[in-house]
Amino acid sequence: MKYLLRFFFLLFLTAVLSGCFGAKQLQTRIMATARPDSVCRIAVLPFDNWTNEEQAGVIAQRIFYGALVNSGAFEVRSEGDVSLFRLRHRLAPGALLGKFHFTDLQEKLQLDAIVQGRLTEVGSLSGRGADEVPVVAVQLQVYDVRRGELLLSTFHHRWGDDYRKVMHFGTVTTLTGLFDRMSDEIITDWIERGLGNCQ
Amino acid sequence: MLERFYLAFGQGLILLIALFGGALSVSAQRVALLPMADYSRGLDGINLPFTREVEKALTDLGVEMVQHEHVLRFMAENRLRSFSYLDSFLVQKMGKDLKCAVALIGTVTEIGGRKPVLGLTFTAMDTVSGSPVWSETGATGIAEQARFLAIGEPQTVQDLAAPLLGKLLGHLGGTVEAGAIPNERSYQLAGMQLFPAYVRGREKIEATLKIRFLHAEPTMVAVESNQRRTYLEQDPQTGIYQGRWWAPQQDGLYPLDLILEWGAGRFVERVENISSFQVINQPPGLEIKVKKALQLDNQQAFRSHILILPKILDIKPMARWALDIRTAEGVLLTTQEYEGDMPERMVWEGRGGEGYLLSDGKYEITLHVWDLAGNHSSDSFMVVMQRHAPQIKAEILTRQGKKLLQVASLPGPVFLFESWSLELLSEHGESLLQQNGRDLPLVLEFVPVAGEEKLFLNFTGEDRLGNRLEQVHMEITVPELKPMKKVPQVDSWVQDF
Repeated sequence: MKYLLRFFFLLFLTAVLSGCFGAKQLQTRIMATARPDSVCRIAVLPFDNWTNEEQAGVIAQRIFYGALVNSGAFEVRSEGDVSLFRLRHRLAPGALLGKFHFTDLQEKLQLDAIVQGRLTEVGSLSGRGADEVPVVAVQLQVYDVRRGELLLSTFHHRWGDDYRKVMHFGTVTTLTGLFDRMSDEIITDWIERGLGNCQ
Repeated sequence: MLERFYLAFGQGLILLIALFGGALSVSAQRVALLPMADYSRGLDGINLPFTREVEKALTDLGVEMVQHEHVLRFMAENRLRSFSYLDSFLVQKMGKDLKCAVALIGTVTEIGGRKPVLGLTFTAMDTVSGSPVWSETGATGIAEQARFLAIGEPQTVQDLAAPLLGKLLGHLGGTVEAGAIPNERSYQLAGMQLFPAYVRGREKIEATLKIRFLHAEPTMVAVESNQRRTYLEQDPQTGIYQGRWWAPQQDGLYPLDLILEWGAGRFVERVENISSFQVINQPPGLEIKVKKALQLDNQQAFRSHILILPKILDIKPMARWALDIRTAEGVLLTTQEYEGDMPERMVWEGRGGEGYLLSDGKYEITLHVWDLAGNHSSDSFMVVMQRHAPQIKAEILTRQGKKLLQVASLPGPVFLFESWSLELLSEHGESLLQQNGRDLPLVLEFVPVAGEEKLFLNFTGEDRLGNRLEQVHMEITVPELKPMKKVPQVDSWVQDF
């Protein structure tokens, strides 16, 4: 009887813990030749918007830019400097950068890395046990501009109720709030991997 | 009881310090608040009522604000439409002109909706370095503010705004943690334009430079290429620098450096590779290949369409290209001009400029191409378009009392029948003649049915391009036999003889 009770207790614990540690939504792939610890000066290019939400790309870019500044780990180039660079090179959001662009980013803006992003899903979903919750999926790429190479690529996907604690408490109901939380998670992950090492 | 009172008092004190502690440190700084961007009103949307609310919230926190009208005037003077273009230079200039330590930009990322939400993000820019040094994002919605028994629950966006602004801006006075990228340049290079950027040797180039300086303007501004320096003159009205020079003769890419010279001390700053121009003297070279055309009698011919494959021999930036269609006699039927690169392949179905099919015949197609320096190349080819088989003419002849069928092609088409077959039928459907052959005209003898005035011809033919002609039951009139002249019978004297 005692062993049976222990067995059921362990079964219950496993069930509870497996519920808590679901599939990880943040995936970062770092290049084998990357040198993330040398990245300090960074800028954010406008995000490419693959969704039907018209202004989602610029909103996400501005929130992510704010999160980078707020992290205190990076020296972030102002959005205006990046806009003028894009204007000079006539670069649309999501445009592929060439060697010449990387050279110019390094020389004119003294950057170590540049972030390019792509929003793949933005919207609201119902049917997850709560009222409508926002959902965002984003892919970010960090390029080492000094070497002209991809440094890392991150994919992150979240629903507003991923942050639910008890009942409806903790559920994020706004896209801004959700993207801000996701930005913090992404930047924390990058810092853990060695980025933002400003000496 | 007393312990509880001390505890509550202590907590209240901590709360007060937390609320106003930040504001105290900010109050020492003068802040310029730019109009709040509002993406719910489009990419360039601004929200002035909300800007005033933010201004009020900051003033309530004890922050010294630059007057809103002064900020708007600064934006107008510096042609700053949205802060997507607020670069580090303009932030520094804002600090200098408006005498502020911080430029605060804010964005309304979400507002309103069925269940009202409000999303805001703020970024503070340090006007000494021109870099962003602080940022905060926050959002809330009615759904997130559910309270016990719904007492004091916010109902509108305005109800959401005040606590959210207090929460976000209360941190503004906190320690600045983010590092700033030092802006070593005291000027903003808005743009350098060369016209034309691609030239032939010894052609004139004009340069326009838009540059703004934070402090004193340089005494001399010049551009240098290939160790040749050209000084630019400033237009006193627009402040734009302009200059012109002659391109060198030799082909090649010529990078330009910008030279700025200040004062009697001749302090010189060189900005390398600010722009470039290219000298191109050779025309691009053009060759045309034609596919889907048949080679007949040393001529290219088609009946449906041809594929034109232009090939640029020396790849250079192209300005425009054109297509001419002329008749064999040289009459221009259409000419069409397009900007940009020539397509890799073109299909011609024999249509003219307005889309109508041209008549069968011989045409000359010419392609022209111009590179950005204005060098021109062209190539042309002749092609025969024949979309219809030749028409025929059939008639019955009578010679020496014999009936003959004569079939001939009508004049016009370049290529005639390669094969044909015919059958001549009597009025009652009796086959009088069957024949196959290659060439026309032909004359065939047949035996008519006596008394019939009409015959019918079935003809099938195919020309060398594959166009087919089928004539079924083509009526042919049989000409009447001319009555023989009666020779008067003269009684011969011989018989009587």
